[in-house]
Amino acid sequence: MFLPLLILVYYFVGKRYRNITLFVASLLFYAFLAPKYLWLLLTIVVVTYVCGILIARFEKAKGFVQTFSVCLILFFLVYFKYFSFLQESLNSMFHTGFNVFELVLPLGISFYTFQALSYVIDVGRGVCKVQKNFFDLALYLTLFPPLISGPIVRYTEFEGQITNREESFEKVKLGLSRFVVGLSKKVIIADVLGVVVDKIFIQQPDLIAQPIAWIGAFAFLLQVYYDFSGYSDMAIGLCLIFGFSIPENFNYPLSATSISDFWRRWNITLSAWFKDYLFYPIMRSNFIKVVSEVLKKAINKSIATNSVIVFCLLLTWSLIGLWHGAALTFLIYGLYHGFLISLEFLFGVNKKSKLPLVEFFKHIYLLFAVTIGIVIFRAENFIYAFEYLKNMFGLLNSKSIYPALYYFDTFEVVIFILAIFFAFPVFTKFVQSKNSKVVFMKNILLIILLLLSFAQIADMSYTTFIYFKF
Amino acid sequence: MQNSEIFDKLSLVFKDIFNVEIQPEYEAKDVDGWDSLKHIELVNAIESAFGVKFKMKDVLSMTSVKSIIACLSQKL
Repeated sequence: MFLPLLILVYYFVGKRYRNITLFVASLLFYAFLAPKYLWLLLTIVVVTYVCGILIARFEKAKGFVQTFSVCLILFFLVYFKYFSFLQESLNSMFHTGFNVFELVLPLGISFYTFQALSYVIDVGRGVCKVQKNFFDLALYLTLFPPLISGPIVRYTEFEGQITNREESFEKVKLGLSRFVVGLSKKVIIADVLGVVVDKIFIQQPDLIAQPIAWIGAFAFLLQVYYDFSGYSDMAIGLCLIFGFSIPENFNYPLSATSISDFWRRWNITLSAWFKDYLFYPIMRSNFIKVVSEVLKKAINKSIATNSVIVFCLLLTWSLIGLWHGAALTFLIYGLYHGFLISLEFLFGVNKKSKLPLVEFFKHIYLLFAVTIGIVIFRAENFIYAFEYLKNMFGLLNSKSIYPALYYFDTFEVVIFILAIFFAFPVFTKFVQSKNSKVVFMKNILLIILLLLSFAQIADMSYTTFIYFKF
Repeated sequence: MQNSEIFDKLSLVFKDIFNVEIQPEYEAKDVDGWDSLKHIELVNAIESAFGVKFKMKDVLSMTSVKSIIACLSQKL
């Protein structure tokens, strides 16, 4: 009821009250999902607003104020997301005996703190002007569709739309269509695949047959893709309904031909964030420049340059891994991707080949590499991931206790095949077509998808989005 | 410095890093290897060649030959 009511109120009130309507609705939305941490969201909003004003005001001390602001915002993220992990790690490494605080992760904290960070850094860099209207900045940080699970919107992308955006019936129609596509990706595909995946990953690796282990890993990759891209579609669609255009977050990542290419298509706004606010600043830091100069004198120039790039890449990717969660498996997941991207860079794999066969083999490599990576992402601990991977490569004497049909029924097999099919850009011409007959067919298809989604929601118990826990 | 002079000097930097002859209308996607990993190396090389210092704001905006020339012409 929340959404239809909000759309009615939003278009009923005058233009000047629409932003405040959305702000209040966003707070209600967050309060409904995570009442315990509404104060934290509002604190981040106030801190970000004040920091922005201070950075703009104290031009001479801009660097200091900006660093202080970034540290302050990061403090909230580190405390709520990583503090217990740090305590546990210190206890296990140095037997420190800290009483571990089991903090519940505030919903969406990884996303809204990253938006806050990008804003204060951009104000400091002079990329955008400071926002003096508190409610306008608050709307940017709390707007409910991307609040919980992205896409991570930059203030520069949002700034012009706060007071000057066009709402139209066409945009509402487009937004609703996108929302339905996202909803069906989540409930018709991701949740159905989730049932299969859970049945496989709940077992010890030595009790899963080798082919089932591969199917489980690939099905989980598809589940995460449809779950997360489904959420992004819903967020983009909802924003469109209210006249906002926010960036795309996925672009057929499974059709990539290298890991570097994959991350330009998967969670696009996250990898772009890390590139602009971490990788580039590290590469441009005085420390790296000095190290680079020393290495250039000591060894070959090209080896020195490449070594520095690889070092910065691994550092960035270890943090991208940890962004996903406070656990060793996520650190390894990030490093695994960073390591492969480094290899691709060193051996020129990220350059496009003119030979279609080479591109085909690169695509197969990509699918293998991300399927292996997703096992580390999924596993409860590294030992499980290691054993599961050993099983996938036939290095574990596994004995399946269930026949293959235990894991999936006909419906799940059909969904699995469709999931593979739709993960590639096979219908782009159909999707983009403006031909009246095709548009009519698309509308019928959307209605069917909506009905199927409702049927699926009624039939299955509710499962949350995977990226909600990040 | 005239834009044509900037372009000629910039061409040498691109030749050195990517081994490619650039055209004024080229964007990052048109130069094989000009990705985020090589971008900072390119920026550092341009700084050395022209004796200028870029801010991060400039670094992020330099996504085409045109935008690099625009950035350089402000500083020279």
